[in-house]
Amino acid sequence: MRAFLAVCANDLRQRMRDRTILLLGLLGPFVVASVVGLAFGSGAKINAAIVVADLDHSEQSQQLAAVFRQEGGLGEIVDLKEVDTEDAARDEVSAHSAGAAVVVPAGFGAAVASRQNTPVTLTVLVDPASTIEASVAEGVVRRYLGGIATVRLAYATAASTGATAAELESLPPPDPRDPLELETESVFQLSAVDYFAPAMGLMFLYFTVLFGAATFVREERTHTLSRLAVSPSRSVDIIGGKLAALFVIGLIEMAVLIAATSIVFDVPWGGLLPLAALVVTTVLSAIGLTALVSAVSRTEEQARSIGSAVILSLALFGGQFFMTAGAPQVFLDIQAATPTGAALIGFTDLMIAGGSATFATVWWPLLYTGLFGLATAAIGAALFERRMHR
Amino acid sequence: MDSARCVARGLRKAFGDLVAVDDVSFHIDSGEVYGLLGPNGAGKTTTISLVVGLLARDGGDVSICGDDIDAGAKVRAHIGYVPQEIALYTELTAAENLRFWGRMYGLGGSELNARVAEVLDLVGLAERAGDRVQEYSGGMQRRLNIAAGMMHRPELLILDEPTVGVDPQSRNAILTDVERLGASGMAVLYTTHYMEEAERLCDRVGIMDSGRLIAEGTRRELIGSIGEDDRIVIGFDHGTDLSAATDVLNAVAGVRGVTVDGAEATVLASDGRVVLAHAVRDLSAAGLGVAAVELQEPDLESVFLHLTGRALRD
Repeated sequence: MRAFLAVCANDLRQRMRDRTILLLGLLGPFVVASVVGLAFGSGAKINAAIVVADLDHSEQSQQLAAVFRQEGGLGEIVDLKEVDTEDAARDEVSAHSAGAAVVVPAGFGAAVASRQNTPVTLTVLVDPASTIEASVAEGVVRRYLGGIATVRLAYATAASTGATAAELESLPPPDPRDPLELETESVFQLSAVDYFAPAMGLMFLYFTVLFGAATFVREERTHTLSRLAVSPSRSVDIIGGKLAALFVIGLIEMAVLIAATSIVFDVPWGGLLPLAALVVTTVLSAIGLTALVSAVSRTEEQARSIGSAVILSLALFGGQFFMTAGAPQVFLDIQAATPTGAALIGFTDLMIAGGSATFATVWWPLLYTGLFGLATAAIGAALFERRMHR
Repeated sequence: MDSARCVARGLRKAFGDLVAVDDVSFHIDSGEVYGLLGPNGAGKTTTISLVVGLLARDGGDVSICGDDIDAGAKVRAHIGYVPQEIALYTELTAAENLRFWGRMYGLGGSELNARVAEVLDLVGLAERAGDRVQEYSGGMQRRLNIAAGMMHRPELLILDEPTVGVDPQSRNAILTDVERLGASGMAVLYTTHYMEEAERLCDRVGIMDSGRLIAEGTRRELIGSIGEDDRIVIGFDHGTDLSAATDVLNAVAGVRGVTVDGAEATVLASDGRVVLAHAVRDLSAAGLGVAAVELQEPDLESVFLHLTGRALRD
């Protein structure tokens, strides 16, 4: 234990004198999350500017427009502007004043109400650069048109089975509001800063910790590792002490990020205990990978190259570079299978759950990152121990 | 108690088809400085790695202070290991390095602090204790490298080419340190490819070549084993009777032959130092004027050349 603590303290002392740790580990994620926050409005929630050009002024067209204003729903994130003509809507989108516009043509209400096969047309104008607004507008329109198709199918089915005119009349009209409430709640509760604070934190955590693999290999080159191996200390204490130092640095890095983004950007990290547990297992997963990369790398350059490749791959598939809401299911499955992705899902789930978050909220990310870390650390340490006594 | 601090028997190590160490045996007693002398690539460092357990042996065994090196971590506590490279943390200060290595050998508290000060003083770095190692000269780093190996007062200190790449002044300081350690009763295993270092420091020398220990003994035993005589070159004053001088020299006990060339006589003797003293005394007594004297003794370089047909630094 004495050797373990001595190695850990010695490594910590060295790392703390390395300014790249300070820049990369502590300032890096905070700066990147800040830049992202500024880009999306200083940490404000997503503000989707959408225009509706209602040329019909019917009950149905007003119902559709009301969806975008719905309190507790899309109204929380959509900044709706109503215009009188299609040209005005087109101008708003062309000028990037709005990301998308929905044009409701004259006759829309009558077509919907006819319940016959009268064509129902809605036009969505989108700014290709405004993917969020486009997704919201298209989503609302598709849902609504889907609802009309469902009602018409029900009407046709009832008519073909001999329903009376009164019975047919009693069938409910399409309502654009109901099916959209759930979607707005599940997809758009996090701000960009909320999402990118843990995303960037994870990427920089892995950078800081995985670059520790190069220092492991450097100790082999400078023969301090040989000297350690000849000392009357167990290999497990030496390797464990080194990994423990990286573990402490990782914890400090995450703690600083969480504290800073909570204070500056009001990022709601969720319940303290499950958050702390997730931070621990997440750092453990990074430590495990470090042990593995150290064991398979022969030179410092190789350790850095392999480390960088691993970090960037995990960041790409783990969803650190972009918000993954709405991504294809196959991508979401891959994300969940990466330690960084699982951790990010855990952190965002904690944010969504807020004060009601418990360990059960993040049981899978906890289990996955913890087991991943322990398994890779054990394999890496065993391989590295063999290199110490060839 | 057995005085042997290190006993190596039949050490063998191969890397593929290359046999790096082949049946090497030696022992080092308490207070003895034992040198492994050989050219680069002779197998000295590999031998040391086998002795300290860094490399797995293909054959043979090693005992340190009576215990098998494989017996566990406690055995390694007897060893102070100084690798050829500067095995220090250069971002840390000298005192921090020594404190760390002391802790790794179980030192702590006031004992550790006292030992750090003592060792720094011993290697002449006390005034630079708070400086980072990366700010040290190469020679100072070398000396600190040795200091780190001595922190726990090992019974066996192993030094692998500790003077490679250092300036003459630092080299001399390192050699003085090693002499002092040997005199203090510590057993020292010292590898070098510098013949002069082996001659100056080592009580016994093992000569290695191509992974094998080809000769072993004291300097005198090794030189004696090749049967070469010492040469004493004596220059005479102008007008000296060289014939009379030759007769005087031939009469000195231990002289094996005398040749004269111009005003110089070359004397072959088995023990040049003794013969030289007697020769000068007898020449003076005979009134023959000696202008210059030079003693040329065969050295370990001659031994290596004799044994391998190659110079030590080839």
